[in-house]
Amino acid sequence: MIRLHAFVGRGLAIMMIASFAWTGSVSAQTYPAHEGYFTDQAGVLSAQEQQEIEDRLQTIEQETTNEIGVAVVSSLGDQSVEEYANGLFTFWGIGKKGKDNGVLLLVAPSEHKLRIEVGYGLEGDLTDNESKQIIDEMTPFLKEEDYYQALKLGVDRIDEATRTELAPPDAMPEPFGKIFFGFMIFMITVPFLFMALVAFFLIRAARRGQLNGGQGTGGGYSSSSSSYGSSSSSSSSSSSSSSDSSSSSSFGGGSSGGGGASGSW
Amino acid sequence: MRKLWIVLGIVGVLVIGGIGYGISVGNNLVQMREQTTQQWAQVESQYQRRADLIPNVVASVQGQLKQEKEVFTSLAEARSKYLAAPTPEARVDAAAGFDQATSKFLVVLESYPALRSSETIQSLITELEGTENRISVERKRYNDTVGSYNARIQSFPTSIIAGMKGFIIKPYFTAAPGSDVAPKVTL
Repeated sequence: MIRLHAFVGRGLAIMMIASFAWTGSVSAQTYPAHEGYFTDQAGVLSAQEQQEIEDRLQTIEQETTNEIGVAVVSSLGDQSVEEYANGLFTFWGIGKKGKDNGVLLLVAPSEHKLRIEVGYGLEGDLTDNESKQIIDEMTPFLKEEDYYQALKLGVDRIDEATRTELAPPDAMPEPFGKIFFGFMIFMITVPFLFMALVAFFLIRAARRGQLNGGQGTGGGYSSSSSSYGSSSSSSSSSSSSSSDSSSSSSFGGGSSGGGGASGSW
Repeated sequence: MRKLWIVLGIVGVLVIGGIGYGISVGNNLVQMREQTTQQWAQVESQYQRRADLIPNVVASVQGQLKQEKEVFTSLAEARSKYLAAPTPEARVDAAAGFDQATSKFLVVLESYPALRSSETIQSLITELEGTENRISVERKRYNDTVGSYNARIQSFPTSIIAGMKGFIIKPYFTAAPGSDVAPKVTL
């Protein structure tokens, strides 16, 4: 038993080292942590302006569940604006998981570049061409270094585009939705209850058998189940930790496939 | 007698634990392999999107770029080669040629700013640029997925189960030689 654990443990350790080495080599670029929906790393907006945009973005999220992240970064590193935007989008996980209804508006003042990166779920509402149009509308303000007006306009236009075709949050009639939800829970829990019941009787039967028979089998039964549980849980935790590295975010973990448009000024 | 039971118990536990571990690892590997396949499908769907889009872009600009015949010819050839590729491997090869022809085409388009005054052409070019970016994103993601899958099936002790069940290393998507250098156009 101890040997098995050491064996499994060593394997896991090697695997983790290998996976760390891998992720280390791929994502050499570091991204800033977000400070809410709006992050101004370059410090181009006043505190009040920042707050205004942040409030606006929060309202949009509450009304539509769409998550619009706005980032003003001090540097793109050695990446193109497209690479950086996609990397940052993934790092922050903008949009709800599964719905992928996120948009990133990225502005890099030192490189004079900007990009709108659109999550998978909104590609139909905010097409590349619409993104390009929004960018073209923003650039005159950016040329005058009026970042506040540019960002405000960008957010308004993104919201406009993504709001029109979005079904209202409660598309399903309320009572029906609740009944449906309850029914789903019922359907999911019943098999589990049934399995638990069967397991209960099996264990009880095994215990009874053990009372009549001897001491060996009972111990073997429980420790085998625990060793299975530990190995499966450790493998699942190692795989999940590698997939969501940005779990600290207030964003929902959405992803984008490179949709959107870029521009410069 | 009692010792025998203990030994048998330990052996039983080891066997059950080992089988359980093997099953969970095997299932996990199947999942990871499916992910790489799925990700490859994402890449291909973007390639398809490009192949569908190119004729429209070409048709819209061809009249104004009569002197760029060469670009159009190589683009058309690369596209039909991609569409005609019979196997996935051949498709990967053809895609690399398609990549090069498209990026050269985009550079040419870039060098005619006057084209952008037409709204239709501008929107088609934006569409094409968007597709190019999606291709590179999905391809990078494919490489990432393949990377973790390959690392997993080669690391101990998963490698034992991977070997038994015939999980093989998947190829990375590598750029065609020279495609990392932006093509130059002389006017």
